[in-house]
Amino acid sequence: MEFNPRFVCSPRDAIVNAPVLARAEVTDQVTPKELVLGVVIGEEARAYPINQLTGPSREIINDEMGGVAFAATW
Amino acid sequence: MYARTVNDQILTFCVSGNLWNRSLVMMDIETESFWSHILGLGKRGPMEGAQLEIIPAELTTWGRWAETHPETSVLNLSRTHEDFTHDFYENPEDFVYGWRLGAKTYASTFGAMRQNPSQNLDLDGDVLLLAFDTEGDSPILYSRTLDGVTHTFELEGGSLRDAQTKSVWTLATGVCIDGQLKGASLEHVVGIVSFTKSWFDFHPDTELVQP
Repeated sequence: MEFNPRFVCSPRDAIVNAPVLARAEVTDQVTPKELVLGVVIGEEARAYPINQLTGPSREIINDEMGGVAFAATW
Repeated sequence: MYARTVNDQILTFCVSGNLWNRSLVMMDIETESFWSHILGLGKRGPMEGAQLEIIPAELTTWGRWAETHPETSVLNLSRTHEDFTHDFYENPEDFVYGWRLGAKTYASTFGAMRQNPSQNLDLDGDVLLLAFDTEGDSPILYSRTLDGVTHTFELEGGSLRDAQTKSVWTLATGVCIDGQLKGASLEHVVGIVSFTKSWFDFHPDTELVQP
């Protein structure tokens, strides 16, 4: 398939060092029925609520856990 | 979920502002290369041809994730949207769970997985368990091989039981909680949730796995 990207909006700043909460600190930032992308690396688990990842400024979160650099994307 | 390390270099990704076949094009700020989001493949610039390693991730509900991963942390940004909830999968045939084995790609629809939430697969010698956690509407793919032995699983009251040792395993995390294999973990195999249409746009030769 030919690579023919179509320009639709200005490039967005990369997201690094995004804030996270421990599960015990969650009140209404995320609710039980909301969809999340969950990842486990080594002993650590982290969830990325899809309702925080939509829209061009939010689709990629550059993160790191347990010495592994990764991107959570939607 | 992609690893950001390519040839010993850690890359930082941003939204390039371009779409390719209606799919996100990412850019890394270190080399300004363009990457296809759905393929994880460098398409233009110094990283053209490079492949990002996929890290297994699960799309499920927060309630279910927090229950099965009590030590989890969670991203804390403001909401940009409200309606990505359990009800997102209103039409289960619009969504597939897809994976790649060597040169072949496979997918199963949410409808098929709901009908049969525990499928023992043998795909040209790759023995896998396609599990579907109905509480979180979440597909998970495991290897059925553990220490060189291939196991066969059956769903029993929400848990898995293997035919060989009758041990009990959690479906959502693939951990053995009772029996001879207690403490063992099934290896996760990478699969991704996608819209059926975009999956087949990018992987037209996909073999559909139906119960």
